[in-house]
Amino acid sequence: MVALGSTLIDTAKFGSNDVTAFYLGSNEAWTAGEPAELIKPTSIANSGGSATLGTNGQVTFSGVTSLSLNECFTADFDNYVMTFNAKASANEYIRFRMRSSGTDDSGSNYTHQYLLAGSTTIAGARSTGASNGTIGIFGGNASPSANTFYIYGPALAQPTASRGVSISTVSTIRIDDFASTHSLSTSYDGITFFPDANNITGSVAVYGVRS
Amino acid sequence: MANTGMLVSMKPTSVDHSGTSASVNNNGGVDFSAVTSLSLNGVFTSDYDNYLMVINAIKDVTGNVTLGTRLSVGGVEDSTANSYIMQSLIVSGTSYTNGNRTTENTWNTRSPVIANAGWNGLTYHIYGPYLTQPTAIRAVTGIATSGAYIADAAGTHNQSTSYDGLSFTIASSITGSVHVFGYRE
Repeated sequence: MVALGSTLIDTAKFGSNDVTAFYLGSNEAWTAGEPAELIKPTSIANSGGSATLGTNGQVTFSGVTSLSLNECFTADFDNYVMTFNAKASANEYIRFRMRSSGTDDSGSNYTHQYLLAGSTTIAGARSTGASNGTIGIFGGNASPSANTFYIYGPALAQPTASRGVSISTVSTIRIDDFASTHSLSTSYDGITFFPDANNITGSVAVYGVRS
Repeated sequence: MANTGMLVSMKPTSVDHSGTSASVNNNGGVDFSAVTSLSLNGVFTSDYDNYLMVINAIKDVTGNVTLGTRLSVGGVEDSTANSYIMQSLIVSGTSYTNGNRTTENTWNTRSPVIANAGWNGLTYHIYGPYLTQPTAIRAVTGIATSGAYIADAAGTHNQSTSYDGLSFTIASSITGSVHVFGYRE
């Protein structure tokens, strides 16, 4: 989105080409939009339960076994932050797969590193050659878990790095963080997330952060 | 247009580097290629107390390299002895014992790192660098070492000085982008 005077413009064109920034003088961008924006996927898809794409882009879901966000990664942003407020029907790892044109990459291209801090226990583990990355663990009790998922460069034709930072309600309160990478130098425009088993209920929002 | 978002781009007033190239892009971030030092000047101002910094980068040759960081004012780094304290947290496979705390003239401990194994994501939370009070930072990372690796850090700086920039000193060159944002108040 760009601004012309005090008027917001969703789409500006020069001939048939989209305009992504206006310039004053030779090298000063007037505006290229907000530095971070809530992204609205062009569509969503789910298995089990129900999911709704809100007007501004937030997705709410209930009882789903998988949820796909299509075209939430674009050339406008390199890096993204996703926020989850959700719970599972039983304690479950929440996985993700990179997605392009509606197709998930389920190849053995993911590695994920776990960090658990619960009471006096600290533990870690790494899985390599996995068919998915991991966002975190959603607790199965009444209190929703919260997770902030940082994902770096998913739409760039380079490997993708990510990090999930959690407030997990497993065992009342716990840290269940994950760092994940995806090794292919492919541009992805979407993401699918899913629990290992059972189903999840809550909301997710995607924010683009300009580089 | 009234800017009402949570974040404000802090476009550097100038950038200094050693290595191949570094330049401010149209969004206000900095793209850099094969640099061994990078200074972002004028990214902290009196308008904002706290900041977010997002880095997407790769080391240019094999291995990991730590991202040594200093605060600066007017382009001059603060190298006061024993003023930067940093606690690292490294989790690699089942090992989480490589944490370390250092007290030096730069934030420079075993993490955060930039790896050559793949592209890496680092998000820094920076608290009060422009205020005349000690500064705190926290780095949250997804690192490509051994496939996936956590190399976080928490740091404090004990000088009650107002800083308008920061500098990275890297023992081996890195390529990528960095963008500093102010949290709107």
